[in-house]
Amino acid sequence: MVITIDKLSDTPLYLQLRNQVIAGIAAGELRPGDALPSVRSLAEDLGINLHTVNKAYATLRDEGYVILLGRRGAYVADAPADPAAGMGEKDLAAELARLATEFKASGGTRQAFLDAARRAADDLPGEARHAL
Amino acid sequence: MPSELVSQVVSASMALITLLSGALLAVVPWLTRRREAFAVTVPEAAQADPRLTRMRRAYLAAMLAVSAVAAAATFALGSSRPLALCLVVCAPVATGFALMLVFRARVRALKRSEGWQAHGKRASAVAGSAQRNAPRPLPLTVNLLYLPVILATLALTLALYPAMPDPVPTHFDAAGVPDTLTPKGWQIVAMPVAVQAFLALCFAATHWTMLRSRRPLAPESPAASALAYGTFARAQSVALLVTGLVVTASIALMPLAFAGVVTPAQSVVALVVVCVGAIVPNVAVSLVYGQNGSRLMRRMAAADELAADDDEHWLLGVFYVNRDDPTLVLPRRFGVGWAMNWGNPRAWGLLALLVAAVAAFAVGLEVLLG
Repeated sequence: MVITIDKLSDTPLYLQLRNQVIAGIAAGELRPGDALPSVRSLAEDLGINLHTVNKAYATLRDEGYVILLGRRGAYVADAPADPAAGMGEKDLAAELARLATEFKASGGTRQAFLDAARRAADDLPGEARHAL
Repeated sequence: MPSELVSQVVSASMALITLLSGALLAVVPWLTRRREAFAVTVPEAAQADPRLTRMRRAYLAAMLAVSAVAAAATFALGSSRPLALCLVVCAPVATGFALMLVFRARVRALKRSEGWQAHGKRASAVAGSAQRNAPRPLPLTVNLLYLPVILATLALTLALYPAMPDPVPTHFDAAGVPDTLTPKGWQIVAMPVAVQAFLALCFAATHWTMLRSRRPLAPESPAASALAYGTFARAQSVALLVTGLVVTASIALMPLAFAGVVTPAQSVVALVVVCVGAIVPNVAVSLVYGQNGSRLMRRMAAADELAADDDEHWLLGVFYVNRDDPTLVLPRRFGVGWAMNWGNPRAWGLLALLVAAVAAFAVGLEVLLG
């Protein structure tokens, strides 16, 4: 997979990194046991501070996506069997509520939001598609 | 072999090296990445701009002319005037740099007037299978291959030692007449090995910079550029190893010359042939792959958009200075090879280490020669 960040984006760099790794896991491009790039090589390839990469990896570890093995590096952890181990149901609800509010405030309709959410869910790989 | 012929061969080889290096500089605009033109970041699609095409051709023509004149002058000068010869051999490099600066200013003006600006400051890295699939340079352990070469030379020196005269002629002038005599002793055995060890260290250090470099992914085509760069870096490391082994092995000429097995003239000719042969694999890798493997990507569609622009960090188009970048080594911008980030204090430390190593070697050789 390719990790791309934008230094001019409003999203903090470590969050951009975290989001990209999670997207890679979700898309099956990063599988459990896969090594992530070393902190130094990722920082140098992207031209960003080592602390930023460390923070992203620590966040991913705290969220259960990644296991850190000290000097041996970072590896993708097993997919959580317990749905609550990844992003909690409460967090998911809060994020969705925030998105829905933002979408409404920017002039979107309820139906358009639902359609977009369904399309996003349909695009998830590895699961049989069924009507929401 | 008559000394007249020897100096002819040496002059011709020097002229050939001058011509080859000049010609390689002349084609640099065709070897650089499409997102750069004369050390200025431009959108890939802009390379088709007729004004850029004209600049590349003008650069090529001027560089070929200067290289041809310099090669002819090198041949004519021979070894009669060393200082003038040095200036002439360096002329293509200096001209290439000056011309690059001239065209760089023009491309920058063009960039401003055409509004070729980056919309964002994106950077890419590869992970997972894309990272695994990208080739890596040879591992540092291949440099252990220098050890058998050094040991074989040591064995050869020891075997020839009884046949060497006392004192041993250890240095010869341009006409092949010995001008330094060293009394027989351990120095005679140590000298070739010391030279080889120093050369091997230099080659290994260069290899290390290749391994240590950032992978310069083009945000416009990250996966392909990771593969292209990996292939290029691997080929470069192979060419470096071949060159290093050939050059290091050629030092075995020293004990052979000490013992009179080869005449000074023969060893000079052999050395020159080795030098010309050593640059051939490097030139070939540069021409086939291009800087960062850009030639491997030349059939891909050109991106219209510019994802990032780091022109501000390249002083004079060749010196990278960025304090906010943890990178130590990165690919050069104009030319084929690698550069240092002079905004990183460790780059200065390495430079100091290099200067100290060269000084220590020069002093050590003086001591050995007496």
